[in-house]
Amino acid sequence: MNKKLYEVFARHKREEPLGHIGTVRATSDVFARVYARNTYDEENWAELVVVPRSAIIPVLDLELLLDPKS
Amino acid sequence: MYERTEDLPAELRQDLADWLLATADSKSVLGLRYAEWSTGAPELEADVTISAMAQYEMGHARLLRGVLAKMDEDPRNDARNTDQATWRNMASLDRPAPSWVEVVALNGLVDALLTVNLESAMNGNVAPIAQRLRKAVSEEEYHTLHAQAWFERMWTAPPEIVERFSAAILAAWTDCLAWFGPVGADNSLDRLAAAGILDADAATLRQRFVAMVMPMLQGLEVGVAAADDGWTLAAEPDLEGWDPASRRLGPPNFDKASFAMLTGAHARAMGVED
Repeated sequence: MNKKLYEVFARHKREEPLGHIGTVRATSDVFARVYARNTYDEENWAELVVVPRSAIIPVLDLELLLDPKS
Repeated sequence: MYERTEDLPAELRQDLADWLLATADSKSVLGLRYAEWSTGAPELEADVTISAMAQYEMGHARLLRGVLAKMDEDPRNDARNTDQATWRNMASLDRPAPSWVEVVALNGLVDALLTVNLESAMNGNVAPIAQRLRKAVSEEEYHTLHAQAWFERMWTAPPEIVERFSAAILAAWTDCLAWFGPVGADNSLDRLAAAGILDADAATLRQRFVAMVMPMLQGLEVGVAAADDGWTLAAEPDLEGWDPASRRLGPPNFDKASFAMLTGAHARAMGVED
């Protein structure tokens, strides 16, 4: 089955910004939630979210950063 | 609200002790069955998840046994290490799951049944149980999601897998219905509910379980029909040989390795005592 990459973000307190803590690969959003919950449950998170990598919109062009003259 | 189990009426304490042990033993052995697949799941993330679920189940068993240990009615004794008949887990858990298909069936049915029971006691009036179960019940939410996701995936698997999956569900289904015992007859779940220790009687608990599981079965025939007020069983389950203390049909039938693992026999043989 086709798996998608999900980025996992979390924060310890509501007032803290979300921080990136890792990734999971899953065939659906439900699997991504379950896998993230069980993979990253070592800490007492106030919030834990998953975002499909495909939903992330690039802001900087990585190729331009690597080669500014191009 | 009862602040201590000692405050309960004497005639109910044995019923509660039996319920605690049957639930705790089922959780403990379910944890073992999950743990046996901690490196055998179809994908790495599922390995991690089933390992975590195993730990939660064992943690919940420990929590329930902690309450039980303070009761004079605790049925456990030294025979637990040698006599299988003293164990009260659900029959579907006696033997290791032979494949991931059976693990998923246990997750969807046995785990769901135990969650229905925990929720009922969490909403009951015995403070030491209700308080301890809040976190456990919240942890179970992800076990339910895991089952729902895997059931959906299993139904789209090749026909031979679907056939095997269906057989595993039907085997666990019989065992699960037996847990609730005779509805409308002598049943300790009804006595516990009447006293407020559980928030629902046997018929209602069974209805909750059926309502939780049926949407995952995608039409598999288990003798249940949709009705205006929920789900209706075509017939009451055959409870020949049902034991009211363990809530199961027939005595435990562990394989030798499972029983040794559950009782710590290997550790004792090496001189390591609990």
